Amino acid sequence: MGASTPSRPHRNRSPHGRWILGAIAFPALVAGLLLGMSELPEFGDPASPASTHVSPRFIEDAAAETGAANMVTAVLADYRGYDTLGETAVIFAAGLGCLVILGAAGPRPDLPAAGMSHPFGSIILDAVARILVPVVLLFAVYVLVHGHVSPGGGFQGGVLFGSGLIMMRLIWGPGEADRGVPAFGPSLRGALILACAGILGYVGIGLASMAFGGEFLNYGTLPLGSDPAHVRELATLGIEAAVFLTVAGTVAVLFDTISIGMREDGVPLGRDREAGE
Amino acid sequence: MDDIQLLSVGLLAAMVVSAVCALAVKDLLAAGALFGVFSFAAATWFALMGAVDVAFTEACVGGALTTILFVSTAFRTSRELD
Repeated sequence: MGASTPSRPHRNRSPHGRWILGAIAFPALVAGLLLGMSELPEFGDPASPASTHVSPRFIEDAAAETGAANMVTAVLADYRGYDTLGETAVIFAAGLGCLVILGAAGPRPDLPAAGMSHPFGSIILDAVARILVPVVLLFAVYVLVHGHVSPGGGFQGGVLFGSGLIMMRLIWGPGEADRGVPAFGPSLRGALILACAGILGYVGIGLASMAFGGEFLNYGTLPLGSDPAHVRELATLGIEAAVFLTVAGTVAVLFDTISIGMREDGVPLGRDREAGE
Repeated sequence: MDDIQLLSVGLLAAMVVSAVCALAVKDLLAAGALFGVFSFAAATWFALMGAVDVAFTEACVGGALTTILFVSTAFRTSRELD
């Protein structure tokens, strides 16, 4: 290393030098992490700083205030709804980024396709998917609406729903409008609209609570009933549904943009399946 | 060492082994599958630690979704790492 010039490209370094560098850097990193970890409080320590400030309030009051028996949902969608809005926007931006970067690359017919070589694949795959896909989609909605009382919620439900959409795309193919083969599930444009509707719905609920005299995303003021906990429960469900739409749509957009270039009938950006009709 | 600690050590060892293997293999498809193994071990460990929501998310995103995306991406490339 000492003899090489600073501008020398990384790949030109000999494998031997890289091993030495790794042998120094790796133990140093592990030692640093272990040293830092020894300062952390014990796992589950009730006296740790994280457990003494806001946690007791969430544990004692969350169920009564928000109507959500699952404390995680109460914190994510209600107390820290602003954080979750940011996270949802990040996911949406990731989908848009993939769409812009990979969509601009255009179709690549020279590369193999992501799904079956022909729609519906083999008879076994088709038969299994016909049973599995409805179950996955229904379970995703169950996870969404049951997030109040059990682990789950909009994010997990959205990913499950998106996985169901990907399964449809993988096995049943993209659909060919000119040959009368329908597309299953939303198209790329449809998925993008779902994602946009989700994030707009989220902001819409926040603005609606402002319009009724509260702060942004303070659902307590919404005119949805007289019991404040029930109002918050309904608004939280709306927030979870918005996250669900954004995540499910973005997952489908991600898969489509990655696989678009792989199909011979790949549809470039801005011209999806409906255009063939 | 009680049962939980024993399971934790096993799962953490599985995570380390699958992560190192994912870096070591030349086949990108195999690396994607190994990341799936890593995620499922992580999800099981999160559930063991009582963070069921996190475990659920890790299983959905890491175990299923990113594995699909990695495999899809592997198909777009030459599949073998130089």
